Amino acid sequence: MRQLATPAVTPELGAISGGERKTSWIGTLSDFRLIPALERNEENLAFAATITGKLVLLLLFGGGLIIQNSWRNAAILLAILAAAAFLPNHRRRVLTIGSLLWLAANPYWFDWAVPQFVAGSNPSTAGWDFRALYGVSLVALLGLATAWISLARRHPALFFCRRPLVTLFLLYSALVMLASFTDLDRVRAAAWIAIVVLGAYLWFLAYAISDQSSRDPDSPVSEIGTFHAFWGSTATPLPKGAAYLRRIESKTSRDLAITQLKALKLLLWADILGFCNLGFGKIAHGTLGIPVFEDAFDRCAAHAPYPGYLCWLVLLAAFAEKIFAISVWGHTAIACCRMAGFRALRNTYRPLSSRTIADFWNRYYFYFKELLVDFFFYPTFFRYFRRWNRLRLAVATFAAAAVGNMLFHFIRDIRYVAELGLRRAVLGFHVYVFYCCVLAAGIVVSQLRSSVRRARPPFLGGLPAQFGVLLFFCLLQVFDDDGRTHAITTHFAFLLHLFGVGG
Amino acid sequence: MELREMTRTMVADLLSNKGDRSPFEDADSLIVSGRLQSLDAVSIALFLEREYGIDFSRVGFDQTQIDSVDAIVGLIERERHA
Repeated sequence: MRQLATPAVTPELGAISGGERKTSWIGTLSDFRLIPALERNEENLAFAATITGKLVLLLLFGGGLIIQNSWRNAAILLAILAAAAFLPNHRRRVLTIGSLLWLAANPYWFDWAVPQFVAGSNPSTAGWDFRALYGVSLVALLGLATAWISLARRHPALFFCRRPLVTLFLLYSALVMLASFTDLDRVRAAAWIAIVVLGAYLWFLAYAISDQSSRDPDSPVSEIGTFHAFWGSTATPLPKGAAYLRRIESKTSRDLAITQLKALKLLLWADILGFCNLGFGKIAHGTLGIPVFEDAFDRCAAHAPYPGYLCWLVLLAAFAEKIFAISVWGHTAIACCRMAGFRALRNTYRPLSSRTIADFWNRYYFYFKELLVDFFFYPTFFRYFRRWNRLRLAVATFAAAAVGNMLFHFIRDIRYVAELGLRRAVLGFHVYVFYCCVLAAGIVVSQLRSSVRRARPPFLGGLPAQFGVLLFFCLLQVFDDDGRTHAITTHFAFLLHLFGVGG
Repeated sequence: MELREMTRTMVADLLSNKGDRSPFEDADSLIVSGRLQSLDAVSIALFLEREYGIDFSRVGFDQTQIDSVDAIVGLIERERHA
């Protein structure tokens, strides 16, 4: 049987995955557990399923939350988690109420400065009450979502129910055009309010509407509960949408006990990584005096670069800090999700052990990759070039890693359109377009080569491959710039300077 | 080879390619549990397209349709009777 290349990764704890059996000292080292596998002990499971056990777990979890949150936020989170733990039969209702409560307590989770920036510069809109407008726009968005989900349940064949992402893109583009080209200040300000709110919830809406075509879709109320759920998300829904939550919900008290023990372990690991990140930053930037990436890059742009060796250290430190940051954030969110009773996979899972570029991309930001796979890869793969398997894999990967990636970031950073105007914002995006294309090309090549590589044992236990993958992503971050400040030539100048070429 | 046995062999091959030789039941989740990834799902879909003529552009693709041996067998049987 001929198979397409598949990156070897299991973004879960060892208990679920069989994993590779390693016999070398590297294998022994990788089997070492700083945090013991609490969920494999039957006594722990029995205790965690009792009322006292749940209370102890919640207390310990709360302690872990306080390290990364304010007392107020930790208390709100803990109250929601306690409700989810003690009312497992009403978990989805608790999720909806909890997420709305969290939104009310922390309403400014997305970039709300844009409408104020636009409106503040015009006399006719400068006096608008943005706090009230914010509330109204959120209610309107949730109302629109409820109506759309309800319609999709009843009339799934309608175009905007069958193709929610296309509809959302059309709607969003129309709003951006209106905001960019209207002469009416009030209309422009109102359009920007709609753009910001719709942009924040666009991918949540896409998941919710898509779910309505499945065999057992959630009700609108349950779907709304997944919109920026209380455990936290960016514009990327963590962990995916309601369809995924239904599949990973703990069904028995034993399941729940395992999931909550894993949640506690993951939060503890996030806290440890958080401290490591803090220590790393102090040593790297304090003791060793390594500049931050932005500083080194600006110096290079001003034709006064730091020495090449220092730029390498800057790049390595920035790469390490990026991995620390996404791990701590993702682990914390997934830990809360697990504590609520959902067996979600980790968002970041041992990225440094990746032996292929595709593998690293899968391990680094799992749910972002899943979003691109769900909305760009699969639709392309199953529609186009169906007679040429390698070509369809390459085209679908490009659609996800390049096109989807670009669209996601352009929408996420829409403030540049307000600040620079549509034309300059689009032109200034060329650096990130280049980044996406190189990333997609790397993933395609890595996928096509994987099947060949798998046939023989990895050279030197795969260490050279791991080094190559990390070097690729480390260097690629020179172009991972979704700002609009520097031209691509400046980025190339920095890259060449690392290799001693140019000033 | 019987349908279920063929499906199990295909799934076992995929897991084995990833170094995962742990046993699995027919009802066990493969993709949602993280044992297989989205690109493994593509391999399964290609197998179903090639061996059973299932057209995912017509039936729509959803990872949960192929999340276990039971689900894959169920999908094949549904499509045979469609």
